[in-house]
Amino acid sequence: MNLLLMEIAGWFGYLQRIEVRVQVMVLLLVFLGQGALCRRLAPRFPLARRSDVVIPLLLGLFALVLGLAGFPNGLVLLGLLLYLGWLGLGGVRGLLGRFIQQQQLQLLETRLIRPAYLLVATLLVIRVFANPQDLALIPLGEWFGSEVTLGSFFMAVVIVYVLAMGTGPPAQGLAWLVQRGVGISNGSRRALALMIRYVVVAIGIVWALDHVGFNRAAILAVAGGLSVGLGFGIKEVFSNFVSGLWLLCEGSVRPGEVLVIEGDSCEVRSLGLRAAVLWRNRDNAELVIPNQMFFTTTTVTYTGSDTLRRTQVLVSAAYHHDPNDVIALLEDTARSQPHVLPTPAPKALLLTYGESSISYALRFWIANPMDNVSICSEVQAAVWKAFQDRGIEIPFPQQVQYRMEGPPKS
Amino acid sequence: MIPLLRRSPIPPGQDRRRAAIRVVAACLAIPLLASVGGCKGRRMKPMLRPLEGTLYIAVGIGELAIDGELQKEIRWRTTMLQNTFRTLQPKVRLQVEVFPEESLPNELRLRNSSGLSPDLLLVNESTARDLARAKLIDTVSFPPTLLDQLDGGSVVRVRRSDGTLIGLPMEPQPLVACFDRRRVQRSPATLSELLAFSAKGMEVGLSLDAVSLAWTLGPLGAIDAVSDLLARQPVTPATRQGLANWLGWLRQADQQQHVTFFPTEAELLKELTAGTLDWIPCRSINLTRVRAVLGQNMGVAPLPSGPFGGASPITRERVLAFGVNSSPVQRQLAMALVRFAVSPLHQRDIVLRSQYVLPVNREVAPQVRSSSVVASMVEGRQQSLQRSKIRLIEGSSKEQREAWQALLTRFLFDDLSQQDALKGLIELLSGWRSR
Repeated sequence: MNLLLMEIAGWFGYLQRIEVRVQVMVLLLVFLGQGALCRRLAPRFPLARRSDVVIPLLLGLFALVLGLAGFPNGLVLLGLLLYLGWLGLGGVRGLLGRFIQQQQLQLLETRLIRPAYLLVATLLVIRVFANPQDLALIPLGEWFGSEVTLGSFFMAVVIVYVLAMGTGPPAQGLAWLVQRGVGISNGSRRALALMIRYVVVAIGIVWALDHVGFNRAAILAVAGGLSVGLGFGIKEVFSNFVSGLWLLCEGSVRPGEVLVIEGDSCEVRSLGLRAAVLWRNRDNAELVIPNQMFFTTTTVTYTGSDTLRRTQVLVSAAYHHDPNDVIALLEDTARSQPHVLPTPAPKALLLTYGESSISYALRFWIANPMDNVSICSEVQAAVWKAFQDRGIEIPFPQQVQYRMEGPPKS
Repeated sequence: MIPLLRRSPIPPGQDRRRAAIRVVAACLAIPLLASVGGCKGRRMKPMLRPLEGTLYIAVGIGELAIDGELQKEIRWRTTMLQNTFRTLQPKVRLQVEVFPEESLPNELRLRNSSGLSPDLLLVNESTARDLARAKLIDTVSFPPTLLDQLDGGSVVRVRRSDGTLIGLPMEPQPLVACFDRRRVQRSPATLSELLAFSAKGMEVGLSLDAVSLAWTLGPLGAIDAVSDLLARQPVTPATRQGLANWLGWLRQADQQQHVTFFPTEAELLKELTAGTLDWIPCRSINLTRVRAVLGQNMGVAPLPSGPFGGASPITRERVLAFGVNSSPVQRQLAMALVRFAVSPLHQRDIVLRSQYVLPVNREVAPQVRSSSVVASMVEGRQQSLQRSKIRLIEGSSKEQREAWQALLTRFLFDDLSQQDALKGLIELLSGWRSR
């Protein structure tokens, strides 16, 4: 590690050279001073408000001046190149946006594209000061009985990171192929994709440790010791992780499943290492629920064996209407609704004789459990319209009050 | 009434951003200002003031791939040089980088355009010559008193037509025979003995690389043929006969069960240290690596001679060349370091301590009597001096050397007849141009 620090500290020695000092000063001047310059120039030149125009222009201008003066300008050109590359990421985002959903694009950009660009930029900068191949051989120290070099450590970290962050789409693609081949459900496909990711990341970590050259026996010994400590210290995390894996295998809580949480239908968005994220349609809220909860409590799901849901609306009609007519009208009304499934057929029932009306229930099936509330609303509105057309009264509760005379005054 | 002047309110977060920019600017500006100002507290006469700064040294490596071992070895050597040099200039720091010699031109183009060229380059003489031709390094002059101390042949090779030098020769690295004493009692003295020993089980490794294989040309009578072709002389029957003898011996050696040809010297070294090979020709700079594995079992001897004379190995001359972007102080330091590196003090030190190079300073006499390794290296150097034209092979391009290797490989695999191989070789050597 000392060698690496000495190496990096040694790069400052280049500042002994006037050519390097001038270029560093130009870069500082442009990147730190462009704000003030833009503010001054903006009233006259509206284009000067845009730093993405001013910075490349200034850098290009300075590079040209240095070149014409016979001064080295490679560092300024590198600064220009890296800045243009950074701006170019916006174009990449726009291009990918045509094919990838916004949310996934956001993840891809923040977790993979921008870090990858920063990594490449850093390597390019290092490349100017030192030979990366040479730098990679610098030993960081002896870990787990083997000498770890900067290159092997860096490579291992990068590969594990890329596997953890970038295996999502390939895993989903593979799961999709399996779905096409074997015919598994959508929930199973998502679960399969997640399990493929876990397996690939696990293999990646093992490979990375092996690549770095760690002594496996030493790792096992340390892992054995740590497992006891971790078991006590962060047992909840482990419990949630194991629960998550179990739930995936079991198939009761998979991404895409619809569960009832506190009376509301919620869709499972993701099942992470620690917690599941569920989306509640009612208020567009995302619920983060520890995996362990599903493992220990009863879970109501509408997507266990199929995605159908039988739902019902309650309605009342006045006593003077024939219940058979009302039941037939309710069933006809439900059948006419586009989101109500024709089979199993809607069924209306007379529930009770109430104080001021007869209560009926109209039961019907829908395909998507998450649309329950909206479809019920549609059906109830249709019932009101049908009752109005046929003159069926939905009575208000009525109460007759008799005024009693008191005993005669003596 | 004059209204009070008030500053417009700063948007939230902007003051924090400005503060962050100031901190970053300060962090970057302090080293800059420090470097501009320098430490000028103590006023001393320029002669007495010790030089101060970092000196960047690029070390070019030829056949060997950069690995941890090689890097450690190079850093160790540099640390040794730095420690002794600090007795003269205590405030100097050497920063070393290792590059494959083939990538140096591109590397220097990039570095020079950024003002980040190394101050010194330790490279092969042929590479230094190419770099000087491409104006990627600075040519220099040294006083005759200094040059007179150095080996005359080495100085001539680094001198340009205008009298300047492409660098200063630092260490000749001759080619010798390395063997494992546990398997080989003594190194074969002749090529016939080499084949006889291999017939008895000695595992021999030979490299097909032109520079590494050139030592076999002399003993087999092909050195004049190759020299003539390289010098653009017309092809004569004697030229054909010389090359035919050489190709015939290569075929004969290849047919031996215990003789194996490898593409590069790096593979020979790997196999020798792994115990697969018993005898190989090796560059003296690699002796430390072999010794690290074989220890006392490492044997070193001169390369075998043949019916037409002694071996004709090419001694590699390592040269200290100068980068183009050094500051005046760095150039002063580089000059001082180079003078120190060829001084008798340091030359004696590297020969005595490591026994992997020969001194370039004539005032340092190699300890031939006390060390068989040094004696073998001296002999190897003598052998190479006798046939100087063959050194043109060293200046060949990568493509030419690859063509040489491909031709010989096809010949040894019976894909080409001896006649076709001879024809191809003549064509190749006739068009051999230095890089």
